Order: sequence, then structure tokens, then C-alpha cells
Amino acid sequence: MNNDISPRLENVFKTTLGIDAVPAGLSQKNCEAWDSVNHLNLILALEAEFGVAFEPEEIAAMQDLETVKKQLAAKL
Amino acid sequence: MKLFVFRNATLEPFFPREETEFSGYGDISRVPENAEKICWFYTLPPDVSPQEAQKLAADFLQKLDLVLTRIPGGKSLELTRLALPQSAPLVSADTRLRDTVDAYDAALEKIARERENTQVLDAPTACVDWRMWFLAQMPFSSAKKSQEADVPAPVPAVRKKCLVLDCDDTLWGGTLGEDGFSGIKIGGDFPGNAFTFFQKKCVELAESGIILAVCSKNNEGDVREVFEKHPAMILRREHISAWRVNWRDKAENLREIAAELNIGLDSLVFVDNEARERERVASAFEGIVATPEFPRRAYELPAFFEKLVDEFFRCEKLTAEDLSKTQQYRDAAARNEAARNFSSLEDYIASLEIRLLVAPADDFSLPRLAQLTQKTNQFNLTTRRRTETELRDFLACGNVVFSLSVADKIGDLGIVGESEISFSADKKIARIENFMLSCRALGRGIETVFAQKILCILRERGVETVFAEYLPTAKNAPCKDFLSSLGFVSGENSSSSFRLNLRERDAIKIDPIYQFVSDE
Repeated sequence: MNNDISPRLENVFKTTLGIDAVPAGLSQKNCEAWDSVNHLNLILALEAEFGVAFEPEEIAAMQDLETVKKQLAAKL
Repeated sequence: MKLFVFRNATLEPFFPREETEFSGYGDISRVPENAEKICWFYTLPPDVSPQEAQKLAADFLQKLDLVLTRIPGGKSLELTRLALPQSAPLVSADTRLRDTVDAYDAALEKIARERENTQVLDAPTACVDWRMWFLAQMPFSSAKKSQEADVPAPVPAVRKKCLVLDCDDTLWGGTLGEDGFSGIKIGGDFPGNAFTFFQKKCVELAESGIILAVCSKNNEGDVREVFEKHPAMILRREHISAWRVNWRDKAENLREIAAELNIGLDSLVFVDNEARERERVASAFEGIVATPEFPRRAYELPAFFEKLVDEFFRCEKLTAEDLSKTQQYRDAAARNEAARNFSSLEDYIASLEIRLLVAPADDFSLPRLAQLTQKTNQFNLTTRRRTETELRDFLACGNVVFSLSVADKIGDLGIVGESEISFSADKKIARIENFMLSCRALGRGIETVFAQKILCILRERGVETVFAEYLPTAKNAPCKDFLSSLGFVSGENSSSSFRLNLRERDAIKIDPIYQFVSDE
């Protein structure tokens, strides 16, 4: 993954979800703060930070850090 | 908690997370005592019709009145004005939406004059992000509205008379011939809700005097069945003046439709998602029939519809017939105004004329029910997430899944409740495996009548004992005392397990302000 976006991406996760660390396997399933509302906040924050827009199908699929990275990388 | 927000839509991204708590959607049953400030922030859905807007705004004010009676006098209060839905009206002279918004804002200002420590705030001027609306019922995007001057909405030189609609991937998502009656996407979540939007707007066109026709390559019987029987369809047979559902050339079909309706081919607008069909029609009639390009993405349907109205269908004024409708609308407004003052929440709930349907799960409800189990957090006794397949397997073992649909005089909420019941081999013992109510329906006592209705059904089936559980999570505190309130007794060994002896209990009385309707 592109080294440039990694810190920015982690920063968005930390601020939006209010978490201190962004472990590699982070997902909606293992992160209490990543609920449906924060999912929305996360998408909006990512779109603002990286100047991209996600399709509804992509937003629905972005349920773990790996997929978020992949979807984002595909747009940059 | 610094701020408590009464709201009816997804607003979380617009408030500081740590300091704000939100009511349920449209829920006014809880007025927290520890909030430093209360905010009233209701919004009209961006796809609202003038008639609906009027009903909704009246309902918002009724709710606000009730909230006002329950917050202490000196408590700081912010009231947010209504945002005017952005799309220009279909009829230029139709000021009903603006009138509704103005009247609502004036009511807020009156409250602010009469109550201490009360401010009226403007609604956000951000534009609608339809993608986020269809996906998450979020009415505003975080992007700022572009600073364009307000130009008057365009009125086409000649108003077209007839909108001819294709079906597959135009009026609904998917292909009827392949996906089947219950597989097409209409209603529910995205993308079905975007097609619902489009159908709703087509009905508004019909009501403004535009003729609707259907031209689709399909089996006619299949399409008619959808228009007659599909529960999520907004467009019905009575809206459609001419049908050509067959496998013939669409240009020929259009020629026949024009002849049947006794209008010129130049009065037709042909809407079809297939570029090939549009090109065929455009070339067959040398551009006389309008063939606007169809959007690739379902969430672009609002922009597409706006363009149809701008280019072909907006008119300056209401006709005599429309004017009589305006009069009816004014009468309705007067009635609502007279009905406004309720002394209690109970009176208000009674005035809503809540109708409930409790039915066994079927092919339509199963996808929505599975989704409810995935999404419902607050009013959920056990928070057991299910997939559609798991629910089908559960049913196959002789168990029951109930769906609850709710409607009231303001509108239809659709399926908002789910409960799964398993049985012992002799069918005398039932266990409530799952029981939940969507946050959209909270605050109206519906959870109680839903449970009571299920208990009545179990009793009729000869069940003697019902077991249930409350498994606490970070979010489901609202249902903590629910089982006790229904008469369940907690078990000796475990505080999470409850039982109810139906044999020893008197008949269960359901509050008559809630009406139950039967299927069909």
C-alpha cells in the first residue's frame, strides 16, 4: 500500500472512531466504536480527506481496514 | 451530556460526538433531565411532496408542543428552522412547499418569543447528497451548497403530454424475467428506495396532468402482476393509461401508444435504461420522440427526474382541476390545525391512528427481517444477528418468525419489528429467541403491543410457558425492564432468563388505541 496515505488513513480512523491505535485486523466486528453511524462518519471523513467519492456498494463493503485500504487505493 | 437533540433523520455527523445525545428517529417519549441544552431539529425528507410536507410539518409541531410541556421553563432551547427541499416545484406557481416551511418557521418564532432562553436557528444550507440519503437517511451532506444565484426554474416552451416508461432497471432494479416477482428491487434499502423515489415522482407527474404509459419487453402477465400485487410498488395500474408489454419493436409500440391516447408522437417522452432502445426510438422518429439519457446509478434518479421536469414537464400554473386539489389541501391544513393541542403523550399517540400488522415471515419480509436483526441495536432483547439463510433454516425446523409492519395517519413505516419463536417438541413451551423493534418506531408504545400480540397468538396455539432472555449490550438499555413490564418473572439462577406462565395468566389486554389489521 502507498506509504503516503497510510498515516493520513490511520489518522482519519483514530479521530472518527476515537481510538488510540489502528491495528491491522481492525473491522466493524471487532471494534465497538465502528457502528453504523460512525461508519457514515468514517466514509464522509475519508471522502473529505482524500477528495474521493465511494459508490453505495463500496460503502457497504468497506467493513474492515483492509477493504477500506483497497477501495481507497483504487481511487487514488 | 451537554446537548440533547430531538431529530427525525441521521444528523450525527453535524454535531460534536462527545457532547451530544440524540433522540430516536421521531421519538419524543424521553426528555432527558441532565442535558444542559435541548435542540429541536426536524427535517423534511428531500423527496417530500407538497401534500406530505404539510402533513409532516403539522406532525412535527404537535410533537414539539408536547416536548415543550415536558422541559423545565429555564432550560436552554434551540429550535431549527425547516430546510426547503431543493428541487424546484413541478408547477412554478405551486407555493405549497414554501408556505408549509414558512408557517413552520413562524410557529417556531412564536414559541421563541413566548419562552425564555429560546433561540431559532437556520437549517443548514448544505445540498442534498442523494447517495447518502438513500444509503443512510442523511438529509444533508457535509459539502457546502455552491453559491449560485437563485435562478428561476426553467419552464419548457411546450409541455410534453405523456411519459412512456420501461420497467426493468427503470421502474425497479433488476430484471423481472430473471430475478422474479420477489427478486426485483423496489422499496426497502438502496437501491430499491431510489426506484421507490422515482415511482413516487412519476405519480406526482400523473397528478399534475401528465399521462403515464408503460412500454416494456417482458411477459405482460408478469408485469401486470407486479403492478397489481407487489407490496412495494407505488405506481399501480390505475396510474397507467396505456400498456405495451410485449417483445415487439418499441418504436412500433410507441406509435400505437400515441394513436391510442390520441396525441402526437412529439408529445411523448421515452424513458428507458437501455441505450440501444433509446437510439432505436430516436432514429425511427428522427428525434421527434424525446429520449433522455438514463442515469447509470440508481442514486442519480433524483437528478434525472429534475432534468425531466426542467426540460419537458414543468408548467407555470395550476389548472382548474389542480386548483380544486389545492382547496382540499387547504381544508386538510385547517383540520390539522384544529387538531393540534394534546394534553398528553398518550392523547397524541391515540391521535396517530397507529395500525399494526403482525404476520408470519414470507419471501418479501425475510430479507428485511434479516436486515433488521443485523441493524437493530437499541430495542433488541438478545441482539442475535441473522442472515436470510439462517432465518429460512430456523423456519424449516418448525419455528416461527413474526414480522411487524406499522402505519399511521402520517405515513407507512413498513416492516419495523422482528421476533423469532422456537418451540419444545410438545409445543407447550415457547422460547423468544429474538425480539426487536427498529428505532424508527420507538417511543409510541409499539414494542409492548407487538409483544402482547405475539403472546396472544402463542396462547391461542396452546402454549403454556414462554421463556425469554434479556442479554445486555452497550446499546440495548431501553429494553432492560421490558420483560418484567409484560409480566415475565426473572429466573432464580440467572438474571438474564425470564419466564411467563400463560396458563395462569388472565387474557392479555391490548390497548385499543392500536388497531390490528389482517393481511390482505
